[in-house]
Amino acid sequence: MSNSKKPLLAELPRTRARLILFGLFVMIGFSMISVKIAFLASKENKKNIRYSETEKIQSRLDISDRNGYILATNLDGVSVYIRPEEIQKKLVVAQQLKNIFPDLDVDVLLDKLNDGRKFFWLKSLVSPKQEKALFDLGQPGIYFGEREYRFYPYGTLASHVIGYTKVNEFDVNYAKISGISGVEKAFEDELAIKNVSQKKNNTISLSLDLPVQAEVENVLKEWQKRMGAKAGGVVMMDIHNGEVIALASSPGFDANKEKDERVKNKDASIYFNRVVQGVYEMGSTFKIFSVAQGIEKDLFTLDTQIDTKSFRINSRKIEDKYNFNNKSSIYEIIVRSSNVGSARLALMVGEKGLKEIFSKLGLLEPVGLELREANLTRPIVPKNWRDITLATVSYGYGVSVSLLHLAKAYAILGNGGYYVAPTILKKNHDGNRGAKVLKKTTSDEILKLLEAVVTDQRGTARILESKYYRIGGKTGTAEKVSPNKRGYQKDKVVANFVGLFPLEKPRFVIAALLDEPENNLLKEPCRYASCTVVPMVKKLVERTGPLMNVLPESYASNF
Amino acid sequence: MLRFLLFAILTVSTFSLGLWAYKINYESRAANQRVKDLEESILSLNKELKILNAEWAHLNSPERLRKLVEYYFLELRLNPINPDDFISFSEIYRGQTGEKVPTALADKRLTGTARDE
Repeated sequence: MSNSKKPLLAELPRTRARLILFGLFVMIGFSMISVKIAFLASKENKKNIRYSETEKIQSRLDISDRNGYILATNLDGVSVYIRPEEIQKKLVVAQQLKNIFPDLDVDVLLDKLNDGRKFFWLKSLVSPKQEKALFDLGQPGIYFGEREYRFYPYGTLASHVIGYTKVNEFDVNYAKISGISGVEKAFEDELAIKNVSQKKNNTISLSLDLPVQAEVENVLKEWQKRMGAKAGGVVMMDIHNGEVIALASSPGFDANKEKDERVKNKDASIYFNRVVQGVYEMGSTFKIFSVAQGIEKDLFTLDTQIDTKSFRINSRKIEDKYNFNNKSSIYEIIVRSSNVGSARLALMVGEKGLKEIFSKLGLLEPVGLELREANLTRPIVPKNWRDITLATVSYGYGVSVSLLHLAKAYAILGNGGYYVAPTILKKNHDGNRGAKVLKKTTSDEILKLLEAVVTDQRGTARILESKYYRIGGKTGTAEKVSPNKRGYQKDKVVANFVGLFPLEKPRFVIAALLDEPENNLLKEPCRYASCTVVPMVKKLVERTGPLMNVLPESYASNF
Repeated sequence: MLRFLLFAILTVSTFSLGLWAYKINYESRAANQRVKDLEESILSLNKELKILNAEWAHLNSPERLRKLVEYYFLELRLNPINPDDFISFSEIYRGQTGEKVPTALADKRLTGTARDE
């Protein structure tokens, strides 16, 4: 066989040529197949990319609290648009649509259907029920578009922290949502992240604790009503790492109804965050600052006797509501809240000293919370610090700060003297402490004073004494500036309280404020913080303490 | 004879290779389709999950629970958590629960009205 093969091929050139030709065909066939395979493979790849891209445009991360409760999420919605030229019986359709959406105006609708336009939006978001009704009409020319919308499952809860959103780009298959205020605005870049699947954690975790927040809002609302106050605010913060556990401002709003509400309700004050944006003269809660500076610089101790007779500076008389002895200890000045004593202390500490302690406690700059509202809110500080300014500032007139500023300052005073910046984000680990700005001994002395305000029989916050928790704090009542900016109104005050608890080992600062409260449940009306805000704070602490695993004092030793 | 054999082998191998390429092609298309389907179902399940999460959050909203607690107070007697509710280890006795018996017992129907009492 092998002998005959060679001559056969050699002798038959035609056969050889055929074989080569055949081989060529085979090769061409294979290369075509491989090209096709490569083509198919690349085409399929493109399809996959397109799939993840549709998700890209619409998504926005969820916002949750520290326990993982969802505070804001994106849900699928349906929008409706109309192509008039596809509709024959325009009058009938207009009437049918009116039956489904009672708020539509038939005349306007008919105009739109007849004026020759090719396309218009009927509704930007319809409920599933309305969608079904529209679908059941069976009319051509009515189309449904896909879009997402922002949903806040808890309605008004923590609305000032979460903020709200608006739709600023809109098409038949998507809607672009962007934040207007609160966390929605502050973390816009993180929330509107392009590729969701790449990020493992699809939520932003806030430091808020939902049960605590709910209880705080509940109590605040109740007390605001009871005291007839115009507005109110409460903030609770971890004094060591600055996590804001609860932040409530009343009156509030429901971010779900945001869009319609805004048109109807022109009252912008419901969007105003009283804790972060509102700056107020705080009154006596400021007295502790000059004392802290004096102790820090060893100018005096708590037992130092100070002249508390009323006196004049720059022809203005400084006096007290209650009678004090001619000389009182610093302990007594704070516990009974003496303006005269406080003014004397401020003069001892001096302009430089007072400014130093204010800047150490962060009272001269924006408070440092991530919200944009906070960054835009600067404390109002006097330009010239004359002696009279020093005196009035020491008892909280002439400097306006937000409630969160006050909470932050007390947190630094109470945590051993470490600087803290309030944060709305959950911290995964305790992290580094802030810079040390005050001595530990100063912090200890201040805590003693704050506890005395509550436990001493003469203290302004003695009703706060609780059988469960050791609380310390300072009350403040400031008269409001009259509308014409000349002088103060006797009958309109801002009452506030800042406290720290549990005092065995301080963990939280709680600051509360009521705007124009009046307690009419007593024998005679009372506007002071001691009879308006303080009872509210007591309730807040006893309600929220167990939720945050703060053990009552009597049990703390058993565990 | 030899020519025929060579021809036959070439023909058979061409066909079988063609068949193989065809099969691979179809398999890869099917696999791609499955990936697409799976991606789609993941997407829709994710959306469903989101809705369920939102609904769960809505059902657990403190405002709503507060109303339910008020409504079912006669049966459940739920009160806000209080610092008194902490007890030390020595206070836990076995089997005897004392005064704080939950009134929501399994055999009682929860009708939410006062007339049951």
